[in-house]
This record gives sequence, structure tokens and C-alpha cells, in this order.
Amino acid sequence: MNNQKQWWGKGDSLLILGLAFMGMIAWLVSRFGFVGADAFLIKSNNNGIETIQTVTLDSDKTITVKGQIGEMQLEFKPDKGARVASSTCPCQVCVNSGWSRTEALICVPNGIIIQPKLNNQKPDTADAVTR
Amino acid sequence: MDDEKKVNTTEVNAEEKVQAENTQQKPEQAPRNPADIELTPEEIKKNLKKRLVSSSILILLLILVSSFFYVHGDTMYFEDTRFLMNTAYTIKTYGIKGFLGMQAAFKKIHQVENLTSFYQQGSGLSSLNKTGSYVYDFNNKQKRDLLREIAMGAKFMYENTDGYFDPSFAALHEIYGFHTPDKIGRLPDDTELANTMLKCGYNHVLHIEGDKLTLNSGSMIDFGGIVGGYSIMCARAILQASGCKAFLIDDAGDIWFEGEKPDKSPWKIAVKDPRGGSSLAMIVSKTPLAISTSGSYERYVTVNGKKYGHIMDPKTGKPADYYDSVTVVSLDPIQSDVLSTALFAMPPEKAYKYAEDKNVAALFLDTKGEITVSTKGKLYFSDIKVK
Repeated sequence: MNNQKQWWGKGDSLLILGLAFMGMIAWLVSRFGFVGADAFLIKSNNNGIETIQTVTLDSDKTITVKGQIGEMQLEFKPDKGARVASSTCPCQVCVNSGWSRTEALICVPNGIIIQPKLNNQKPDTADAVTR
Repeated sequence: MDDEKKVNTTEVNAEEKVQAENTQQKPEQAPRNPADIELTPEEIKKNLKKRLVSSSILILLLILVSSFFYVHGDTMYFEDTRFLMNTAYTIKTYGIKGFLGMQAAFKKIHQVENLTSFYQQGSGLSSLNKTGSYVYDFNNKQKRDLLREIAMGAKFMYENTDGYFDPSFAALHEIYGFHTPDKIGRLPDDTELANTMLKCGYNHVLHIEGDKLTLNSGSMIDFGGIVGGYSIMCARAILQASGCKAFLIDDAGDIWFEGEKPDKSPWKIAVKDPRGGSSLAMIVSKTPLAISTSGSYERYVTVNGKKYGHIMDPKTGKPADYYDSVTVVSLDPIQSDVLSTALFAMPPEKAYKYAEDKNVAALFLDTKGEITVSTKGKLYFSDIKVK
């Protein structure tokens, strides 16, 4: 028992801290940095903004997400990007935004952001869209 | 009796002996102080070897992390979007300094929102609209009265645009149904419209005297047409101060970018085509620019199947319907934000003349699908989609 205790020195603590630091960097990169393929991050504002789902643009997909005031139907196509097909929000700004590949789609009443993550950026891909 | 005593004495002696033995053993069983431990040479050798291994791994990890930051420290891409200013606010930046600056910038935007939000209960602007007066509490944590600064900026732009940028149109929004939770629109009759127009006219209804803002009874102010640009100015100052080398701020289409991207490519901004399909035009630049677009295709109310946009013509009090969108490029985020709204409200002849006279870089897409670009705009807009 005593012998085991003496093996735990400052160096071991530093090693653990170092590993934790590396883990934090890895998390930061995955949280804010790079995603493997073109994808959309679906973020919710229910309990602070957090990513609730990642949808890769590898095939046609339709998913339903639950927002603050109701459900939203989201549609994804590899050639077009994403769009809000339907939403329970009164203003319908998100639905009226249409298809998007480079800009975030936002539904303020539902607290939902559909944010693009385009890693394989084509030369003609814009950094942002003014609208 | 004596025998009994003898037996008892023997038992007592035996107990004392056990107690004495326990007392002698205790110090050995107690946890030892590591400093007092005398290790054998083999133990010392083994201990050192273990420490050497763990220290080497740690040093290797530190070298790896340092190398990573040395190589990628300024090129790591960070992007985040937050719900702020009643929309989604995005900042894109590079490097660790950019990441830290981004967090601080979001905090500042949140402060601006708390003062200027039209919809947020308890904001400085809500208080002004509700009570008719606003005095900044300088005992607050902030040293600057941001609401007053915006009010002064709006006054300047109101005068500079011949009243086509008018934050007091909030009263008109009210009667058209823009403030109802379900956005069910309605068309006011001529009398109601005329009465409401009396409550509009920024310089006539809002009075700025020293630190105090006073609003006429029944009037309302919405700084939505200027506060986006203002918040970008605040975020920009923080990102610049953080030492960030390249960043882009996007307040739901009001954009500012500056700095050189790590791959040295220019910034590329697409102008959304409200009719759908690919972008209406592109703005490609390596130098800092502010870009804003005003349109009626996202924020509108519908009455009898017809859409009515949220930007009002101050001369008629009715929603302006000359264009589908107007985009302005400027060196000042406030100017681009305000001018895109003001030009959208102006009739075409007046708007084109204004853009030429004031040297504004603007792109107009009218409701017939015709695109007009001002002389200065031709320096910035490229890949314009022809009809």
C-alpha cells in the first residue's frame, strides 16, 4: 500500500493534466474546428446553445427536430444543401429562406440554427451570404 | 479465594502484556511519512526509472502541443453562432487570439442587445417605448451609454437620408400587424394611417437632451435598422484589440470582414437572390468591407394573399415595394446597414440619384427583376446574374 502511494508523484499529476489538456484541445477542434465531410450542425437554444445533431450531406435526408415552440422538418440534399421544409413558427422566416449551402438557417422562435460546416470548400464557395 | 486472586492477577497481566504489545506495534502500522521512508537502492532505481518514463511522455506531449500551436496557432479556424439581436449572429475567425476575441465579442453584443432590443422586456429601448423617457444609469458597470450613442447615430442618418431611414416607423409596424405574435397582417384605413403618421418622424418624436431621451406619447422607436451595424462596430473593436489577424462578423446578413486569411485567398461574399437559385452577385475583396442587404422577402405580413414587407416609405406610410432587395457595400458597418434600408424605402429615381450623389456602392434588384448597379458599386459587385 505504502509502496503504491509513493509512485504517485508530481510527474504523474502533470502527466494527467497534460492528457486532460490534449483532450480539451481535441474537444475544441471538434466543437469549433473541423468536421470530416460537408455537413450541417443542428444547434438548439433550449439549454444554452448546443449541437444536438450533425447531418452529413452524403444523401437526401429529411429529419424532424423539436424546437422551443414546436417541430421543424428539415430537408438535406448533397447538391442543394439544407432547407426548412416546414416549421411551426408564426413568422416563417426560416421557411422563406429557402435552400442554403453556405449560410446558416435560423428559426428564432424555435431556437434552432442549421449551420453549415463545409470543409471541402469549393473555390466558388462564399465565406458568407448577405440577405 | 487466594487462588481466585491469583487467576485474576494472571488475567490482568496477560491483558497488560497484549496492550503493551499493541502499543509497541502501533507506530509500525501507522501511515508512514514518505519523507521518512528509507528506500532500498533497488526501490530508488525503480522509482527513478518510472519517473523518467512519465516525465519523458509529458515532455513529448508538451513538444507535440507546442509544435501544433506553432504551426497552426494562427491558422486554426473557429466559427460560432449565437442567438443574439433577435437573430443568429455568427463570427468566423482564425487563431487562438481570434477564438478568445470571439468570446469577448459575443459578450459585448449581448450587452448591446440588452440595451437596444425592441422585443426584450426590460431593455433600455423597451423602457423608453414604455415610459417615454430613458436616462442612463452611469453607476452601471458600463461606462458608455450605448443607447444614447445609437440614438445620436440614428439622428445623423435620419437627417442624412432625408428621413428615409426612420426608426420611429415602429408605430407603423404596429398597425400593419408586424408586432403581433402570429404576424397576422392587416391594412389600416386612411384615417388610421394618417393618425399614425403623426406619431412618426424621428427628429420630431424623439428628443435627446443631455443624458436623457424623451419620446412623444404614442410613438415607438425600433433601432433594428442601425443596431446591427452598431453591434458589428463593437464586435470589430474587440476582435481587433484581441490581436486577431482575420475575422468575419455576420449579423444575419449584415457583414464585416477584415484581415488576411491563412490561405491568402480573398474574402468572398454572395448576395442572395430572393428569387432563388445561385447568388445574385459576388463581392470579392482582400481589403476590409461592410456589406448589408435589405429586402422584403423574409420579413413580411400577408394580407389577402399579398405580401407586405417591413420597410416603410416615409412619404406614404405604406410598405415600400419598389425592390426585392438592395445591397450596399461600404467601409462603415453602420452606413451599409442604414443605407440599404433607406435606399430600399426610396422610389427608384430618388434612390439611384442618392447613390450617385453620395458615392454609395449599391446594387438594386427591382420587383420586375431588373438589376441596377451604381457607379461605385461597379467596383465591388462581380458575377452579377443577368435576368
